[in-house]
Amino acid sequence: MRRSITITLMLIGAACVLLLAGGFPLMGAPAVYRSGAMMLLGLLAAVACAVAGWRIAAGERLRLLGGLICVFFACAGLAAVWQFGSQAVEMARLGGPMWFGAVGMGCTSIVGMLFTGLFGFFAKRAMHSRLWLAGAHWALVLIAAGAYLDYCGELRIPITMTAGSTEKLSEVRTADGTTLPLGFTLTVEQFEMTRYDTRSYTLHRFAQGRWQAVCPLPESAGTLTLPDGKQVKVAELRTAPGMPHPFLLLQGEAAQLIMQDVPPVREYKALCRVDTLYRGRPETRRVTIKVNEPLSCKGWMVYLMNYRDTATGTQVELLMRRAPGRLLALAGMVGLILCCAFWCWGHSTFTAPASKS
Amino acid sequence: MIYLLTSLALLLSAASALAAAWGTPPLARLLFRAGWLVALALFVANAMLAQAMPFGNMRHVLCFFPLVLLPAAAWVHHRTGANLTSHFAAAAAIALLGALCMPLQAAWRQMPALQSPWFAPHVTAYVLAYGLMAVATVPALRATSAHPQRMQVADAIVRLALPGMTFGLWSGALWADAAWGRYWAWDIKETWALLTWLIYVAYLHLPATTACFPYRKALLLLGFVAIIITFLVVNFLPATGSLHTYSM
Repeated sequence: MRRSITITLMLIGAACVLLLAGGFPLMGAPAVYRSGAMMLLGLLAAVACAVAGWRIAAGERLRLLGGLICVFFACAGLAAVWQFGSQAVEMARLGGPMWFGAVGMGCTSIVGMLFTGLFGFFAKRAMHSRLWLAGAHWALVLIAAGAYLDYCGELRIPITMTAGSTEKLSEVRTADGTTLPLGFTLTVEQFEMTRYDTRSYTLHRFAQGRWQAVCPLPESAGTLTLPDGKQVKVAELRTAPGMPHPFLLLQGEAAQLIMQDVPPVREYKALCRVDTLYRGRPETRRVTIKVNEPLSCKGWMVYLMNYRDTATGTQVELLMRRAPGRLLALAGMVGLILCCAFWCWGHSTFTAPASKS
Repeated sequence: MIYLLTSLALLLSAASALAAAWGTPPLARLLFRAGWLVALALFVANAMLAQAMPFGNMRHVLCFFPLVLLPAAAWVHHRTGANLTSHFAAAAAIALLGALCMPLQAAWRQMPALQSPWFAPHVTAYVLAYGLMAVATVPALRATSAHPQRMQVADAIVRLALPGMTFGLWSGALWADAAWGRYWAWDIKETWALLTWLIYVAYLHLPATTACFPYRKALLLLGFVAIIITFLVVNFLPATGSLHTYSM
């Protein structure tokens, strides 16, 4: 076996051992992931990937570079289709004057499609199986570089703000007490939470000083069936002050209660106001932050993490994040997905002898 | 209704595997296709019950599993010429048997973090990749150094499945970046997914020579064990504090 392959296998083996040490379900030590051994191994793996990519592309490095640039533009076109196409659909659904915006966004997404098609074609022509493999190795280097940058310089600051108040956030305080200006002012103007309209019921029993859930109760044609076979009509359940959901206290020796469950949360979102300066002029934006849709402004990402209902109003839990290596790592991930697919699926095939079954 | 469809799809898949084993491939293919149609109906029924893409819990995923196996079998046949209907049908039957043993969870609703465009492609890619990798283990088990053709079939299946696994792993990271505010959280499920991916990457680094044959075979078996741990074992362990608890 060639020495380079042996070294690669040793590195992968060492990574597997460390991952196993941290991720072993019962006795694992997750601290191993941020240990010096893991950092060193990651660095060695990144160097090995860079060298491997360089050697695999020997003699065709310029072609690889051209191909990767084409891949980048094709991906940029795809991103434009994704972003502006979805905005076009959203605006078209609003109707009225928003149709003009929808048409504009639609035209931009068409340009994105052209970019994807054109540069995708050139990328496919420039790259072949070996170059895709080299690209996959370099994509791993990008991921590692992004991860190391984030390890050294990522800022993650949890913030709690009251929805609907005049509370404004224009700077954040890091764990070591340093105050950092955001470059914009954030206000949570409104918070909305919706629940599914499902109805389910659970039997509760009073034991050890508190009500404990016993089992869910199946409902059929407006009737609930208890574990002992007795049937109770849903219409008999009533609400009471301090009990927002209908319930029914059952007669019998043991204190038992049927209660309608709180339906699961469908969605929650925070309507935020962002005051910032655009080319020296004040600008105000109103942005809705959802769980999968963070806000990006002046190098900061604002994530909606959770919410709490308190006596003073809804407390919205946000995460302020500044990650210098994020884009590098994400570009590496997209590159790895693409290069791996083209390498594996573009690989020369063989015909195996057909078996009986 | 759901259990009836699951049972029917299970019976058809098992019958297809048996028919293939008894040397009647046309009947096996017919039964496998019929089973796939029932699995499609099961998927639609699950979607109607959940009022969303039904990938939210283990039963949903196991019900979806047979749906990707027929195209995968056709794909493998097209790429390698090998007819592995019995392997794929048996894999579908095992998955449906698992689905039958799980509670219906009719009240399941998609939580906010799962409402993302990444949800369906992420789960689909993983189900497809893990299914194919599991199937690749069978020819690898039966391969010997005197008859390495079966290992070549396994090799071709791994090459078909690895991009799916890569997409599943890294699309999960892209999704996590938007939902959790970090692309890698060292969650136990994603750690095991990375470990599984690395095992298959190591397998692909080994040259297809006679000297490396036992190592390649061992790595494929190890990869299968890692899939079982990632897909099932990690979910059922207590107090792991996983961010993937909704996939139970």
